Amino acid sequence: MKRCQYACGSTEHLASRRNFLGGMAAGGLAVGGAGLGGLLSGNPAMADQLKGKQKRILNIFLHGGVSQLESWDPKPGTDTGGPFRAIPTSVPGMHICELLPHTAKQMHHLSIVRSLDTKNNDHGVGQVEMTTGHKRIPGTEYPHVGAIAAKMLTPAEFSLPGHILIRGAGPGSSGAAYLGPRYSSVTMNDGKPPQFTERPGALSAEADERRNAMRSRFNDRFAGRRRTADTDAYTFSYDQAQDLLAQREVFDVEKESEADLARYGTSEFGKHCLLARRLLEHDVPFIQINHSNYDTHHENFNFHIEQLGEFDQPFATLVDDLHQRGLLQDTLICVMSEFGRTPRINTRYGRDHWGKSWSIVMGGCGIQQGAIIGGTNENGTEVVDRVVDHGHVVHTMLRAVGVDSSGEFDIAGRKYPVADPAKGPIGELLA
Amino acid sequence: MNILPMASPVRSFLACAIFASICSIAAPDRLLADTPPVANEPLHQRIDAAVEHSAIGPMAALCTDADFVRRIYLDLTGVIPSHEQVETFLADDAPDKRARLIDTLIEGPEFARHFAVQLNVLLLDRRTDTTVDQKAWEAYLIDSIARRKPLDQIFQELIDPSGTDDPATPARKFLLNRDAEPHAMTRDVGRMVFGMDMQCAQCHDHPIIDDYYQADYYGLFAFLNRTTKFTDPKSKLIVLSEKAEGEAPFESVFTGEGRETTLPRVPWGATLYDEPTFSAEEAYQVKPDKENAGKPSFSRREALAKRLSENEQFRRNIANRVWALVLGRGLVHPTDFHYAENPPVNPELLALLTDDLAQHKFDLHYAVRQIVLSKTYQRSCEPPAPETLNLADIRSRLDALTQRQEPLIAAADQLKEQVETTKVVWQEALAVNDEVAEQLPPLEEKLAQSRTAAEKATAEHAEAQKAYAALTQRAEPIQTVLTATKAAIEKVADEPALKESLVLLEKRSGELAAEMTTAKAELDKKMEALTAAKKMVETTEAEVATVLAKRITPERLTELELAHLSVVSEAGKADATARLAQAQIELCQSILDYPAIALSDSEKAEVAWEAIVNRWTLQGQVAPLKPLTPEQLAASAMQATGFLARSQTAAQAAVEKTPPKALEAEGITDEEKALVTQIAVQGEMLNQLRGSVNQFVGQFGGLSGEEFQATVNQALFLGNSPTVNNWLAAAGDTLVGRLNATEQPTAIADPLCLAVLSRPATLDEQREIANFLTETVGEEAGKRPAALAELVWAMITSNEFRFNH
Amino acid sequence: MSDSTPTDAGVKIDPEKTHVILEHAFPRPLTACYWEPQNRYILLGSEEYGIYRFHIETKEMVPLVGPHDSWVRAIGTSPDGQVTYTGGYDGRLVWWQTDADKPEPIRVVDDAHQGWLRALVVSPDGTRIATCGNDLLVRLWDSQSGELLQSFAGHEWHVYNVAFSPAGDLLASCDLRGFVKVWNPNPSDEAAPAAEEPGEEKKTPGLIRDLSQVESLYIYDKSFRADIGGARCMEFSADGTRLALGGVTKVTNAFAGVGDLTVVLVDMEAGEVAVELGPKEKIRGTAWGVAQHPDKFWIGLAGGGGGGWFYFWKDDSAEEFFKLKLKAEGRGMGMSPDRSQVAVAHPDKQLRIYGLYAEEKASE
Repeated sequence: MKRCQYACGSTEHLASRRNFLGGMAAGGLAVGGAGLGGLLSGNPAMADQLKGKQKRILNIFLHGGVSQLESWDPKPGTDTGGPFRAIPTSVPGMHICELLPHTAKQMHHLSIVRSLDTKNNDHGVGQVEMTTGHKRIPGTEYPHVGAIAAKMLTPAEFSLPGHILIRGAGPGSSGAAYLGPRYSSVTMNDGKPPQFTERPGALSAEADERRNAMRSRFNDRFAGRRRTADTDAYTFSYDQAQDLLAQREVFDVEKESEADLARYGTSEFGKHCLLARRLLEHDVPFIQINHSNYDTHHENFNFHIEQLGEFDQPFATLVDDLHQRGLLQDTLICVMSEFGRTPRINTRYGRDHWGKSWSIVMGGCGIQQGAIIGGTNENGTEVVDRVVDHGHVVHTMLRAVGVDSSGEFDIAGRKYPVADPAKGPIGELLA
Repeated sequence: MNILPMASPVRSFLACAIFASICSIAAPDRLLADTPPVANEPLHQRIDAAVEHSAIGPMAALCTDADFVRRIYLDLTGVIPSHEQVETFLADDAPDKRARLIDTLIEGPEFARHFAVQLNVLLLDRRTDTTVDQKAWEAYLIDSIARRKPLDQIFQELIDPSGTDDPATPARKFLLNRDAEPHAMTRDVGRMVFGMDMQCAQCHDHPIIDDYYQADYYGLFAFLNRTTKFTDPKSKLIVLSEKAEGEAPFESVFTGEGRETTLPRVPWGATLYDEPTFSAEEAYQVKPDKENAGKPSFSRREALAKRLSENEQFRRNIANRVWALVLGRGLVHPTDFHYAENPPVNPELLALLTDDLAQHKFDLHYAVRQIVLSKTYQRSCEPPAPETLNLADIRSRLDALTQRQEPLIAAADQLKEQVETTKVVWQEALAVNDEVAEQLPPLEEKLAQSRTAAEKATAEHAEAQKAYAALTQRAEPIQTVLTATKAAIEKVADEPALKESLVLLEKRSGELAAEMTTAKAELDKKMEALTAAKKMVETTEAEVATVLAKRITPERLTELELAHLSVVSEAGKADATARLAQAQIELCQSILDYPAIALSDSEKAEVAWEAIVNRWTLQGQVAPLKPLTPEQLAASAMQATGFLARSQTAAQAAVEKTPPKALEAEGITDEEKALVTQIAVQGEMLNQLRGSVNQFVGQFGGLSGEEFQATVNQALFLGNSPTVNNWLAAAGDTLVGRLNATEQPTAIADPLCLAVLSRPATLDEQREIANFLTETVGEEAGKRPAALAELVWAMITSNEFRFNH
Repeated sequence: MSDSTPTDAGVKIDPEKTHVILEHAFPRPLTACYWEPQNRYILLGSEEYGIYRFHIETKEMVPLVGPHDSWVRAIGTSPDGQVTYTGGYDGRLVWWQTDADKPEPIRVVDDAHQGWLRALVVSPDGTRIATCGNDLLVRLWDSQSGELLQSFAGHEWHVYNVAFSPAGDLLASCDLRGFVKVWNPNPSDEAAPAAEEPGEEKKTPGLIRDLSQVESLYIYDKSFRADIGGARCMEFSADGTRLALGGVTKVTNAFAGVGDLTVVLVDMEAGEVAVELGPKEKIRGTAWGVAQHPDKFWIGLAGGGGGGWFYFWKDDSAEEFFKLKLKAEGRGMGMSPDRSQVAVAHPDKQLRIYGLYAEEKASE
């Protein structure tokens, strides 16, 4: 990695200068550990986390609102149950829908929360609330959990993006709000590499190196006049960009073995899961895969056969691979939607929007295995045990990867709670 | 009182590091002042005096002409100067050339565009919405600034668009961008208009900021919570509608101590005690229904708008915002958090600006002109070298400061007590009225009852009187005949007829006499009752009067509240001064500690020195490095590469093609025509740039008050995006094109530096650039444009270009 | 409403006079409907694990339950009506004695299909039963022995429906994407049934021909990224020259069911689409039932966003000559043996029987 050549270029020194890169640069003096950028000190969990093994989050967002009854909370034989049967899983006593036979074999790595009551039936609101953990207030923006994770989990020297969104459909980006552009999602549309990770046709790697060398010389000269944490951060971002270009293959799923490509299948979601595995192996802190679409107001059952048929095997394969490769213990997996679907089956064999009693799945890092949290009544129309919502979910995700979700961000002197202060993690779900 | 909760010197050193952004070193008194600001001097001189006055250690020299020309163009027009503009300015050797350039730019057309862009970001947080067309909104801002509309008027229009008499005024966008949702409006009016982000005080008194109470939040909320978004069914125009009722009750989720209600109250300002009340029929000018937006006879939102200009906190916020718009950072920072623990970096300076701007009708042009005329603005970004420190002087400052510390704290504490007393007085007054409000109803009830009782008594008394009178009339004639009969018998003793009638008459008159006695008795009873009832009425009336007499008038309540508030602000100032004295002491200490550290540990020394320089920067002893905003960066890159001119031509052409409607107005003056056209061109310019700017915004963010962030994506964007690479093309009128036309390798550096860095090249730059070209191009002339593009790119991506210095 | 259902075929058929003659409530929304040939029963699928036997005269409602543990939408009987066959979304194929007081399963084939068994049809001579399902197979069973005679593999998408030609010499099947295959339903010696490991079938030589894909019956909805299509109902014309396939077409939003009902008539000789019967005015819906009436018109049953409808088309005229709004969406349809009445399974839990003739004033 090229460094600017001016005085005190020693690595320790740069490491210490790196402290300024975190963002508390603006005006004040840097305090706290490397990479903690702008976080209030006095959050031990946050200070420690970078010492441990790199933690990661994989969030799989099933767009449109997957039916809990056709997935994690089947109610066969009831008026709301629909035609599908419940099948046993690798966890004794835990049953899920027959549409997920492969996933059923992996449930001992995962836990189900069957008691979400998010009091919302709107797609836009659900998307925001489930991924930020905050109630949506007009005119207020909160960072996507991916932005929070990127800010909290990305090591200072890390050149790859800290927050990647792999999408075929669904929203094109996940915002960072007050955390700033550094933490908003880098999007891989249809699994293609992120924007601008390819040099313009005419520009050779050699020429790029040459012009960057020239840039460094201009910077060295200006550093003689004034040098601040900001100028260092800016200079460093170009070094990181060169690093990233050098590792560009990380984004190319085709570099995976024939065998793996076959195991994950040819579906878009299959490819995206394999890509996610590749990125997780390179310690990318946060990845979200959007799988579209589950908004089945019409023929819910045919469409869930198709969509969950696409979801089941690649997802199960990914969970198993992460486990086999020892990545699962440092990777939190979450499968969520904006809401569930109505227990009532409408006259078109459809199910409509339903935030009152639905389910998500979590597993891996910091999450206990094979648990079922909460539950619904006999035909799934109400939560009867342990009501939780998006606030608890995001707290739990962050806590699972060692982030003190009760802490605060200090952004340029303004303080923001890391997660909704009125909520907390689902304690019994944490390992 | 605990000024900064810091024990060990180390921690306190860190502490001021942490608070570097919010602490400052204002001299506690005039003893140390070089020269105290004098009211009749121009503002820019008083600014400098205030800064020098609180300065500790050396001041940076004034910046070079080259630095100045780049800085002033960026700050007043939003883009670096063209190489011609640079050359003209550098060639000019008149002593007043800076002042002249300032005036040209402030009067120039781009000024309005640049500040409109900044206001847009400030007011909308870069959120888009479909309620009001973005172009119309930008046009509104440009127009308002170009016509030197006072800032307080702009904010009034944003809060009460109906005040503009144009139902479709784009000013609606400010509140409609928040869906006119009461809490969203309360939060952002608090932030942007008063510099107080009280969101956390929505559900309870602010957990972190002692000065923000739930009642403050709901006081402001009460002005806004009657307002809603309304879509006109016919015109589909989205406007604001307001109801005539709806209070602002709240309950702390922490204490759970029952519900309270607050009257409308401007944050840290007067309560609306004298709100006019209307009968249900008269409550509305326009009653809200399916067809019409509501317009109450008394609009609380309008009342808020009307109260801005006189509100101290509004004035402070405006002064602080304008300073931040030019210097890149507020004297109070973050600009949304005015409160005791976050005092201005220089209270004297903020007070000065606050009063002077208000006196000058919140005129943006005036304010900006004065600020950029100041030495403080024009200082170099190069910090003085450690060697230049006069430690002896610092030491004596330290001694003086230390001596004054105690008295300052004492003074502040004393004022704090006064705050309590004035508060008690005001609260007691309120309590009295509450009491009155409690006692009055039963008394009034009682009064009403006694009045009806009195009427009844009067009636009964009259009745009795009538009965008695009737008996008297009947008795009289009988008496007369009786007497006559007696007389007759004396004359004719033996007349039996007379004797008989005498017996009858005597019997009858006896009966009547008896009846009359009872009637009389009845009459007297009624008389007593009547007197008693009358008495009761009088006494009750008296009671009501005494209670009413206790009631304190709205005028008096406001008086007491304002009295309290003025002590609060005094106490605030004293507290700030004391805190700053403490921080100042710590700066002295860290400067005095520096030489020792420098000898022992070079790395620690560098960190320590950077801390000192940062503090000097905050205090205006050294100019800051300001990262260019996404707008400035995009436009400047285009300016440097020769692409901005194209957009300017395109904008001109577009306006000529479709001239603004306003030009067709009756009897429009040439002057007005010119202005309208100029405003239209600037608006169109934003359109021309929008595509590129949005790409830069996507990468560089750029919310107001956002912390600086350098990201890999930004580097990748500038490195590999088609947009930026097109700007490196070698067409005739582009920079690379021009340079390519210049044969001599050594002749490249100057035009390159002038275009990109707004300065001539240094000698070694000339050498370096010439070498680069010869090495890269070699014998193959075909490679030359590519090599030049590399050079231009390397400069555009350099720190010198990225920052305003 | 008339209580006595006129079975006298002499009644004058007049579609435009179609009216409800019987309405009967069931515990759950109904999904399928089959009119038993001997005119004693109507058999109904519902959102439950079994079917109902509805006695037309007594209105007695008897559940046929036990083996199924999913919805049952495939129903048929032997020509004499004595044996009832049901196929479920549990992949099971079950034989019942139709008229037992408490009908018990006679035979249960557990893995008739992997996943949903979507449709079932009995050969005209009653000797064979054809089924199809999500395992991409079309299967032929001996109605007597229950033996699997043939497994026709070749479809690459879920097989939605099957139909026998009137002569019983052809078996047509249609899949999700509107691919129509014609199989030979007469067991040949080289047929190698392999019920045990259905996964490993070789392509049997049962395929007679592929008809050209009925494209209008399928679409991939790009915004929701899902397939929608298939023949939701399927029947040969009486003369066997036409194959009618009903479903939904011109879908613009699969997940809201925004599309038009269609009944596609394929010419068996040409193997091409002859005509597409559709609605005059756009009404969201899917054809859930189709039948050709001897009086030379087609009846289509619509269910979907636009509500329930009967459509009546003269042969070969693309637009209906009459349509009738029903009280609720249609989900399944059966026609009385004398072709004078139609029974419909409705999601409002109602069975409704409609007479295709003028209401008798007398019975008012």
